[in-house]
Amino acid sequence: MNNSIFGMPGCDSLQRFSRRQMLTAAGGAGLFAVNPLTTLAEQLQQGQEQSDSRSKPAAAKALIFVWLQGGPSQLETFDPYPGTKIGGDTKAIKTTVAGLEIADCLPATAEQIHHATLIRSMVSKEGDHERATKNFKSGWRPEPTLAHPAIGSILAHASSTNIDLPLHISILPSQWPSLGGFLGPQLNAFTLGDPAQPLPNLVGRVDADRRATRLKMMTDIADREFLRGRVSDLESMRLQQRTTADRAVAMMDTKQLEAFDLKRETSEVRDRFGDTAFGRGCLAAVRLVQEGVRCVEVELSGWDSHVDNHGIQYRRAADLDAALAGLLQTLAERDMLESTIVLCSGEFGRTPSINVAGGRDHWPTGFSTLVAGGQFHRGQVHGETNSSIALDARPSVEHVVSPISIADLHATILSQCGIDPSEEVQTPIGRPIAWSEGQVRSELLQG
Amino acid sequence: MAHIRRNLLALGLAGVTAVSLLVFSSPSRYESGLIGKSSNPSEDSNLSPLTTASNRSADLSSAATVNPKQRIQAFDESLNRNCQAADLQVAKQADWLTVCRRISLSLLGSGMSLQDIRQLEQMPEASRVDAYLESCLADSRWSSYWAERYTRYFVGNDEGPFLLYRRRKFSLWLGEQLRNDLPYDELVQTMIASEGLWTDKPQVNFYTATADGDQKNRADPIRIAGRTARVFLGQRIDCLQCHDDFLGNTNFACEEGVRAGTQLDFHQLAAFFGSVSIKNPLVGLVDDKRPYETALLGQSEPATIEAKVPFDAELYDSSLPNRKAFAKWLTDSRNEHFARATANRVWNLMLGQPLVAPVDHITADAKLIEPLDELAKVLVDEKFSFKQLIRSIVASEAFQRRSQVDGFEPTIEHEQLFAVFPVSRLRPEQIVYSILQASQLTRLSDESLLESLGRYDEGNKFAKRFGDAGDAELAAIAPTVAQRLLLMNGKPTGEATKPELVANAVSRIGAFAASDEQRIEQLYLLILNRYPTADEMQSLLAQWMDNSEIKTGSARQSRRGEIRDCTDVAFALFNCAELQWNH
Repeated sequence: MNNSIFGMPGCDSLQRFSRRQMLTAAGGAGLFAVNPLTTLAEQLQQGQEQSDSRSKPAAAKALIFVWLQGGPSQLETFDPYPGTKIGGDTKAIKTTVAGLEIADCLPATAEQIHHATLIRSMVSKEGDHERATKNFKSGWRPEPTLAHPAIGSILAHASSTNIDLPLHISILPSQWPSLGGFLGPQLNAFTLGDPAQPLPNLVGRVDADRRATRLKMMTDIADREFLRGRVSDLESMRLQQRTTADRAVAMMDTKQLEAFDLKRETSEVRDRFGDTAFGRGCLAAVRLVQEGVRCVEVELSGWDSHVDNHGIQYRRAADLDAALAGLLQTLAERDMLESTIVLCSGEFGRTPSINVAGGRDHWPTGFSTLVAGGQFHRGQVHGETNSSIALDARPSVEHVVSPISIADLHATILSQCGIDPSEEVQTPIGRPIAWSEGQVRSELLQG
Repeated sequence: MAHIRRNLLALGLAGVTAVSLLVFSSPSRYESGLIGKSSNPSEDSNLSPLTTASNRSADLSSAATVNPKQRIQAFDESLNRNCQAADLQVAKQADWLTVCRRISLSLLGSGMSLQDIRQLEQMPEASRVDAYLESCLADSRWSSYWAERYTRYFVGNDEGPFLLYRRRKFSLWLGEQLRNDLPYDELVQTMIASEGLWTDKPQVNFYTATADGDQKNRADPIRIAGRTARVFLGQRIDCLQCHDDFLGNTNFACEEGVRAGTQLDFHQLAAFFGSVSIKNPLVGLVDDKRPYETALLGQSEPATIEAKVPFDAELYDSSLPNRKAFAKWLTDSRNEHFARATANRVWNLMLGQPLVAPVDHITADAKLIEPLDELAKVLVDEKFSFKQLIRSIVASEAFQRRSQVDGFEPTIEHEQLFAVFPVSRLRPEQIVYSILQASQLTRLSDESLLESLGRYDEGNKFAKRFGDAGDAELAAIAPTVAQRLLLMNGKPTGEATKPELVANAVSRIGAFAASDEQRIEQLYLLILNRYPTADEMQSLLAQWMDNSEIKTGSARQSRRGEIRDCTDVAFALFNCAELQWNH
């Protein structure tokens, strides 16, 4: 276990608890009823029955989390219904998976989607951006007394990798970056902007010799005086001035930062990701995972389309398409898909109806998430939404076939990364809590 | 010199000139042989108070008229009894500068300005702490800073529902109440019983902040009940939402002493807020009499639950409307939970560590429950005046104790029982405000603070990057590597240590101080609000002597070399533990 996003061993601040059986009756296994309608998903998938007890040893070492902030429209991306009352102007194109069509704004992704499982039946109970974002990033609905850690923080916490880079990195985060929650701020995602720009706070303002002189004055003069006459283990237990300074300098000087130097890639590889900050972020994510980083989140924001839905979605999709396709293709080419999970989603989807401003509003029941890598099925669709839904229908899980809750998705990904989602830890106030309240959804996995 | 300063200030001439004279005129204590002693450079009490061009409201001359020391005596005795029972030696009284830095950090959110220090030194030593405290309580930065802290406690740090919630308005409203010293019980009553528009009556935002849950246009009674219990009763009862307390985590007063909370307790409390509805933008928040319904554990169907207080029912006036009656009951001076919770939180804000931890969960068997009850009595006796409670806390022995001791080795228990002043981590905003404060000689005003934050384009970014804890208190854990990098290479530190004579205090010290000893002394005062020790002074002078440029006799002879050396020392001080921790 790691108590820092950096790959250095540290003391485990969380005590392990055997799983209590209390209060599990409300668990998520039976939360959503399965709709018996005949579905495309049923035609495509292998017909495996849901099993909530499965937890296989994980092959995946890393997670690349492609985060689409703002609520992308499933109808303009992965779940189009052209020619129907809810379809709008979106057209569909064929993909490399037989029988599967996605929106025509994602042509490159259509060529690579055979690497992935497409879930068209994601459901949640959160329709507010902030709450839904926290819900999706942590797998738990927000609650006032406990800040749940983001999935990347859990992965970093569970890692024993020893590298100079942070184990949990977020590229281009906007309003609500992934945080360590009750695991502590040391597991917050290390945030970065466009990899083409200088890395924030990693470049010193003076040369290395002068930096060393300054830090020596800090530790040998100022900190030494501060420690005098105080609790004996103040430095080792609380301040850790030397340790953090050493780690900071190691990170500033490490060759692993070359992961951000995308010029080391061929122009063909760079071009496939697109000439955007988001595309560069996705390529950097591949390189960071190669260096041993446990979770890289890359954000593409701007999907909130209450007005001019079609235009906004298509413009965002243009950036997404190249980068996501490039990501899947590159991971496959480098034989990294077995050991890397790719998760691509927003916090919710958008309404079947189009409002008077040409926009679609928030819709948390029946949105699309793409997941690839590890043992996730390749080239499969799970779940289905309903094209004949009433335009004034309210969000309800009843509109969705084979719904997948966010908690279940988290549990399944954690299990793929070698973490038992039902394992309980103790929060700082002594509350025992599992990593996830969801169930592993075996129908999403091979074998 | 005093005459010149008075005239400059009276004439309202450029503050920079006056401040420079004040700051740079004193010989260093090292040169005067005063270092390490509790000196009193001048007995001239006729000098102007801490009045600056940017902050004329902060007048040091208006000291409190009552005697806080007497008010806090029973508390001091109670805390001392705990130390004696644990056989703990208590630390001596800290010097005035250390105490004033604590006041500044807790009330203004930053360290002291060099100008404040120099002006205080012109006053009799015995009156400096009181004078500085009064200047801070008169400063609009105090009410603004505490309003933000309390906004986090009351409504959290989330952006909330866009159309129904105005967090900024709520915070400004709170600041105004604090500035006017509205008794806290009245403030809470106003908030709990509020009705109307969230734009017109900012206190309504206490409810509308939660209107983003499952039910649109309704406050979330579950979240409000949980928050109310934590903030106003000092009880974490959130687990009761789903089940009775079987672990002894909650305790409510009853005839037999205390009892464990039940699931019904939680929902009876939530029922007070179950009818809070948010109507159209003309009406705002009202009670619509909708019954509160839920299914308790083991029940298959939801049932109506009536609002009921969990203890001290005799204080509840059922003739009043529900929320008003609840607000009266909650803030009744006989409701010991309310006074305890309030006193514990104010103590936590002042010392960085509550008397009973965690700050929002006070159990009857807590080690320092007796001192907390004494502090709560002070609060009640002072009619819930925050300013009076703050004066009393500052006057307490615990607040004025040293954190660094000679003659015995302090332990964690010394800190827990306040036998020594506990070393506590500063919040991100306190760190960045302290850096911004140390980048100029005069005290930051509300306006100049905002200007500085804007200039560096940092604003809340620093806090966010540093790891804003929202409404939670920071655990006393080491900074992260990301935080270390931000402090080393981030904009605030970079700007504060950049060679820049016009806008940078460090460079001005490098350029205008009369000697190396003065430079070092002023840098310590500017950044750490204390004088360097003799060892530190000697070590830094030796470091400067070792500078290769000095050996070659080149750059060190120039002003640029002096500024360079100062920026190096300033970097070390901005990054040292002392800046980041209250002590």
